[in-house]
Amino acid sequence: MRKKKKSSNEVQLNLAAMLDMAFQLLAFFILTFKPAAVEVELRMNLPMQQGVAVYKEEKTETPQNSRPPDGVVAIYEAIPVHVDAEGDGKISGIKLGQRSIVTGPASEGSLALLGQELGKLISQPNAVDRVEIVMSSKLNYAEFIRVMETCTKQKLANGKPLSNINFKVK
Amino acid sequence: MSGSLAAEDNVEPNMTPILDMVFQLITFFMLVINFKGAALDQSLQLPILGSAKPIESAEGESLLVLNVNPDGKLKVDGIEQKDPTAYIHQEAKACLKTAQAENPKLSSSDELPTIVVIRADVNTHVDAVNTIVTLCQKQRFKRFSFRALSRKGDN
Repeated sequence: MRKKKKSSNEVQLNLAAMLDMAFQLLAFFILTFKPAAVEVELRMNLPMQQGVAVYKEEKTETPQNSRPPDGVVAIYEAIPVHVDAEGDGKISGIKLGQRSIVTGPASEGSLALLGQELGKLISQPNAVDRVEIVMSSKLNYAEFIRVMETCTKQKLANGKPLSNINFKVK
Repeated sequence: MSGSLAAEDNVEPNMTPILDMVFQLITFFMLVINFKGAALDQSLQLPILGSAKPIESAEGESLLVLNVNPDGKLKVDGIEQKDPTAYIHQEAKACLKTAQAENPKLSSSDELPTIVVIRADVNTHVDAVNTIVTLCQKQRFKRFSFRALSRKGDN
């Protein structure tokens, strides 16, 4: 008799309502789910520039801080990279110091050449470890970031990556 | 006899496993939902870079996300900032306050530890990006992160 009474008092939860609500929540999350594209970054320290002068044209070095007899490295405080652009924002030419490295649109190969030449300059012992990129105001962000990436990939004589990069727009 | 049989055939499906599964799915979606993504303007077409580093953010590192659209306008959380100078100045004050709470020795003339995240469209002129960077530098921001997308097909 007691057993029978216990079984009749068994409470059964109606899960249908809860399931409805759970499905609605699930539908909301599925419909609003939009996975973000994978972003990458170029992280740089860009302190406020103290001076406007980028490099010294004249040779004013004392024998104590003389550098290796390399044309560009010997006279510059910072290695200047001039990037010119066309009206559509694409690169139309790159100069390293006074030397023209890229003429016309910059392909992967021509930027690799810039990297190679820049790498040669900064990897020499006692070479300047600062690069100043002077860009045309017409240049677009896509091309700007390609040039910056090329520069940040280069390594100094001590094996550390080049981080002392400034840029300005002409 | 037949009536009794019908009553006994009243089958109720066991909803518990399906409810468990649905709750697990809801938990998954709640965990992967990215509330910080609201700061990232998805209408911008970021450039594609082959060998840039994936984003590495240390715990507690504060970020100031600035989106620069193709017209050179600054957008933050989907709102166009009419006066970027005032906005960045305000943010710098807030960042300094937060940084001073963690490091009381930090003075108002020190460089701010906040990383400025620059997200610009492929067609944004570098002039506009430079203007934003200069405004940030004047407010003692020094650390910058220029964003791009990883190579096509990686995402």
